[in-house]
Amino acid sequence: MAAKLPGLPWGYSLKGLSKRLSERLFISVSAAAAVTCAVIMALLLMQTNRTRVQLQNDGVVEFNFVQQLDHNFDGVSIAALSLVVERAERAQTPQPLTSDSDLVRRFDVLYSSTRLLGDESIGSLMEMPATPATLEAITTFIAENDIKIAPGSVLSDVELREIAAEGQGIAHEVYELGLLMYQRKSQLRDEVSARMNWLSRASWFFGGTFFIAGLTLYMLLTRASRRAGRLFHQAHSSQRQLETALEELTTGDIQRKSQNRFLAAATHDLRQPLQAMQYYIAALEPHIANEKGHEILGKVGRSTEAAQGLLTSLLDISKLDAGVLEPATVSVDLDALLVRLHDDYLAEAQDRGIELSIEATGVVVQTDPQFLERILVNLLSNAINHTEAGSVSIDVDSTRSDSEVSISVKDTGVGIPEHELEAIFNEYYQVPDEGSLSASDGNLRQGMGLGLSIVKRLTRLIQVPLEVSSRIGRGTRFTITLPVAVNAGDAAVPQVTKQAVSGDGLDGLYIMIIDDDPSVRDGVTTLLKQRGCNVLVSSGIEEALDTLVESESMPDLILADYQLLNGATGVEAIERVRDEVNEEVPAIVVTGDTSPDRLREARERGHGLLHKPVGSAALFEVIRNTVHGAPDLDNDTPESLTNGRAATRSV
Amino acid sequence: MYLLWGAAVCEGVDAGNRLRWRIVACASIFALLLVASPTQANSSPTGEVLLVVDGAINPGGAYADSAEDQCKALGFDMAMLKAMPQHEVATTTPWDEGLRRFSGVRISDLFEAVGAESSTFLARGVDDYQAEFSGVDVDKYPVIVALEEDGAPISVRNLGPLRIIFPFDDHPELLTNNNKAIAVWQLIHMTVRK
Repeated sequence: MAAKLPGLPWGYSLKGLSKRLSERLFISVSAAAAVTCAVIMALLLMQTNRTRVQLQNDGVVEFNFVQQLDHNFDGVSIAALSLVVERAERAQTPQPLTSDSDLVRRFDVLYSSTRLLGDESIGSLMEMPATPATLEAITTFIAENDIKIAPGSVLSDVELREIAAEGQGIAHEVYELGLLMYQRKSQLRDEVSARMNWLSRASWFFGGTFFIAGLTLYMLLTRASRRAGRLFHQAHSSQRQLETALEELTTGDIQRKSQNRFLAAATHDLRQPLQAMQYYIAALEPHIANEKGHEILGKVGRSTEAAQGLLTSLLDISKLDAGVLEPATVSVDLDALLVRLHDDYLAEAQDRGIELSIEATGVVVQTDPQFLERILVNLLSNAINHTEAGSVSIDVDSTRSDSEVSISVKDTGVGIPEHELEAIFNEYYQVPDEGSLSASDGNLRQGMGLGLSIVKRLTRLIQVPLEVSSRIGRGTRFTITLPVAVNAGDAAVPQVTKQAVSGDGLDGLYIMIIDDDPSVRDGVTTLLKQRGCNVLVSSGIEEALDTLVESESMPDLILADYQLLNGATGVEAIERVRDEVNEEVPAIVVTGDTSPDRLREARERGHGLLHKPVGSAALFEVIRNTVHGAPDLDNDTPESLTNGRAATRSV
Repeated sequence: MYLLWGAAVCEGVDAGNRLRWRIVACASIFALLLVASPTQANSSPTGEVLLVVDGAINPGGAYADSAEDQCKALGFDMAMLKAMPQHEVATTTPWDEGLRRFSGVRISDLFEAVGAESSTFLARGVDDYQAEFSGVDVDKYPVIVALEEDGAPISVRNLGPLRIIFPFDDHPELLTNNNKAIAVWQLIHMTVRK
């Protein structure tokens, strides 16, 4: 497939390169950001955990413990001293202590507050160097005085003063412990505070990196998803192609395809000299003096037209095989079509001495009007051409079913042997006994048997069954069966006659012509100028771009020959011009090439398509449709089909 | 004597007048301690007063014609506390070894009895420790003033005789630093806040 694409301009590969580069950049940035994120996250977790443990091990209980212990030692000391003072004031001798006495109560309270000594609730106090000594002093004090300060014991003033002094001393030690603890907690707080600052900054950094990682990841994912979408699309179309190929293999289309390639090439080569020949014949006419000469020239002219008709048929086959035609199903008034067919073919039938019988029935069918007409035209033309005497008729039978109607084209011609009923739909099939008729120029086309192969393709496209029955020497009957229109009210009358081309829609258009053939260029320019168009003429891409810059105007339409000099193509030229003006300017590709791939390419790019030789009417119509938009975007269909019919009739 | 550490706040007393405040407080406590009217056996302490409740309270019912009603300070001895509905809380605490069974009066019951205007109060212990008891839903959680530990009265050396106990084991969410700070032991005084 790639080999068939036109060479991409330099800019495309650069774009591709930068795309790939930016993708790599995205991946690196995303990966780096993700790794940074992970590292910061790990650090954050570690540091947070460290702080958590520190705070857990450094509770507030120690403060309370120290404060209470200090207070309770003071309490015992003061109670002891108070007892001494009280005795002195009352001049009492030492009395035994009671359970009510303040000293006993104070000592009990002190005792209860030391019960947590060494417990883990004093936390970090235990880590301080002074703690063990202080704790030992406290334990000793409690143990010694537990016996002394008890109900019933008598304490001397000296003993009481001793207790008070010891208690004061320990209270002081505990106080110093508290001061140490304060300092230590301050340091810890500084440490935690500094770490929290760091954590805060790291969190911000983490947030930033996380955002970058997320963003790049999102972009990568979007890209990946787009690419996946493209791949899916490609896979889908590959599958379709495969299906088509398989179908072609099973139906024998693949053989036709190879023939088709040859046809396309032959048509291309034949069309150019044929066009020239028609010009020369026209030019020759005034130079012929006698009647005989004119007669011969007339025959030459008709032969040329016949050849042209043949080429058009070949083109039709090419297009049908390329699959560029798509049926549009509407309600079709059969009568209007049949009447027109009758009118069109009556003269030809009379010339040959055949009776033509086409009956109106008032039936409305559901199908593509142009395809149906083309089928009937080919069948009718085929019937007339193969009938020497008798009649050709079109019968419409709507009685067999409510939903279907069958249309038969019947002749009393030579007939087809039963074993060849299948073969007649192949291209180049010849009725064996018709050799005697081939002298007539009209049979050049018949000899090729393209009409029926076109019919076969068309019926397959609109999915209509085609039957044939024949008896040698009696005649042949072709029958197609169509669905009846559900809603017959809005039946479309097939528009076969082209709309008369008027100047409307063309006047004042700015048209850029790119063609390497000067004669074609001049001819088209003259035609368009007559219609009031402004024309920019150039022979190739570079000249077109130069002209564009000089004229400083935006073309309404680009008309480009497909085959330009130096291997450039019209499609490429259109792209370059569009790039230059940065606008999707409507474009028409003119080609003498009927290869399905070319047709498909132009169609896929949305360009209009014209086939050489280009008639002026066709040219104007396609221009008008392309610029102003036509209901039927496939500008190709009416043109060639109609041309095909016209060519047939003119024979 | 140590009961004097407890302070009773009387309505109508100028809080700024510390001298007068002290006199009234002392008077009320001595009255609680010493005056034991036989006709008011239900509402007045006969034994040693273990707990004084004052502040924003509205004594009524059993305490309605208390001699100290005007002063709005109520003293409780062990018998009065025992006479109230008893509630048992079996729990471990950060300050005791192993699982203990505490029993005593629910703070919500106590406050209902004294007509407390809020469940916030200043709790004070024998060792002069004091803490503002607040932020605990005492109606939801059975927080008690424990009178007994494992079926026996609690000694001062064992953080008694009264002690605020939280059901830490049944409600682990209660084990916060704040609650540890307000689980006052050797409780002797509660001043109810408005």
